[in-house]
Amino acid sequence: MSDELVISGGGSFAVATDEMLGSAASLLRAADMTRDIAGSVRMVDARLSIGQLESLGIPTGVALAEDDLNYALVALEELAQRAELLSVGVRFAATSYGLGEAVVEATTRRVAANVAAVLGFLFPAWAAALVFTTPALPMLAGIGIAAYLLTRNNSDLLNAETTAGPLNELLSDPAFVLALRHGVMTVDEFSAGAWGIPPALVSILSTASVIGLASSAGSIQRAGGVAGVLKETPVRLIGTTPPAPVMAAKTVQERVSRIPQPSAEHPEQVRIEKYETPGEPPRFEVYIAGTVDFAASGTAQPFDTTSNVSNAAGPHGGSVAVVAAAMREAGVTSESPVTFTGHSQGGGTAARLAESGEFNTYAVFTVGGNTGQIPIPDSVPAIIVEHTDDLVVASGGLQDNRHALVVERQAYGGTPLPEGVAVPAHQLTQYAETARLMDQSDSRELQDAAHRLAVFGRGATTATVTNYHYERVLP
Amino acid sequence: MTNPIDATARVALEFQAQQLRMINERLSYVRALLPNESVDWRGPAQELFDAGVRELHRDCARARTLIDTAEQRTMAALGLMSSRVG
Repeated sequence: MSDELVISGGGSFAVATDEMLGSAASLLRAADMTRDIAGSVRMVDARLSIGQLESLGIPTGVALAEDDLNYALVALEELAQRAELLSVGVRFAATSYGLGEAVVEATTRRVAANVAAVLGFLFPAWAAALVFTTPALPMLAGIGIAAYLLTRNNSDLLNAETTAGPLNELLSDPAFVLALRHGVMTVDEFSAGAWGIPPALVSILSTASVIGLASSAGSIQRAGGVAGVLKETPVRLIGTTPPAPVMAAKTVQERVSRIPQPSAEHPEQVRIEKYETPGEPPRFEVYIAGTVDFAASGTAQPFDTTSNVSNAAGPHGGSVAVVAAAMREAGVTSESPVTFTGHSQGGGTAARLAESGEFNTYAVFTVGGNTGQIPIPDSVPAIIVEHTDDLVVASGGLQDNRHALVVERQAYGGTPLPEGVAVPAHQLTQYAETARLMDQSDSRELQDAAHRLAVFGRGATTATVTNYHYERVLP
Repeated sequence: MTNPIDATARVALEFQAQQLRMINERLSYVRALLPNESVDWRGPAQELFDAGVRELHRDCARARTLIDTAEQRTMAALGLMSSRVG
């Protein structure tokens, strides 16, 4: 397993590992501390002048100590300057790398979109020939997998059998996952081309954001609706747990461990913590579960494939409705400060709720969420944790929330995948491990972000937690 | 009875020795903050980074040695004064 975290975003173009950013922060601290030490040396040096040494009859050997201190001062000044310079150099390198990566990504995106539009336009007569000759084969695979993920109608989409062995290896390969991300981004261009729209016009529509992942998901949902699948329904509250005292999560790992994992015994999909301080409006921590049932129809579970497609299409998904209803039930108003934390579909749901502007969102924290194409407002601080070998994250397309602090890690870098676990890098336990590494990181970016989350519940005189279970109202 | 000038000198030297010891301890914290040669960098960037890190460690070691020597000279002077008083 890889312990390396790659950090990007946060309003900067820099892309760097946490070790690099940690080094940059440590170097600055070392420079500051060294300057303080130099000040102390100067003070010691000034206390005993040569004249004083002579007048006090102090042995002349101490005069040599004064020389040592003067040389030490020079060394300390050099040390402070060098440390500062190296820190700046590390950040400059990270920014340069990030800029280069952004240019490459934008170019790849444009080329992939154009290739997809041409393929769609020529489809089906020329598609087969192109599949075997084009260098964009990974993109095509991505398009195929994306369409599969968005339309498959069964409940064993991610079961162990269908994703065992070599297939699991392929689906967990970071190169494949990246190709899928690009593929997802080009489904719309491919579809538009297939509808007979000339590739040049598709390119213009794509650049103008008239078409995109949301419009593709919307089209798929409408088409599914005709066939009786992927149809949204109202939701209803089935039950809640009695309010219980709670302490605010202190670490990122603790936060991740609080995300609900519904089971037959504990079916609640939403956990809401309420923090009250006299004279202040109550604050709420909202934790949202991931997909519970992969069925696309006939299930009472609102955290299903229908909600996944709905979340990709817009703000009207069943899981979004569930969380909004639970929040109202908990007493959340449009003024109440709220922090959203979600895994998988819960991440996409959190992003949609933040995007809606209906709530006073203090922060969004997602792990393994398909959030790439859901625009979290720039005014909302966001931390997005993604595994580069997590297929589900890729189904959300490329990450366009540039202001969000994005933390990436390859969960299974250099180690064999576990037997019988489908898409293992998507498991919440793996994200808990990434959270642990985030807690241990020296990176200033990560420490600041973790601090912002940790202080949200601090200082409350009363804190309670309630869990909510919702179901779809089936026709 | 101890000469008051000697007493003043001894206090001054003891204070200096104590301060220098503390400074060296603080420098060991600085040493701990300095990165080691990195595994995350590649190619020329790695060489530049590693060279920079080596320079930092050299500067830090030099400063520590000089402070240490200054402390030893101070302690030696104190020893001389004690024997002179005795």
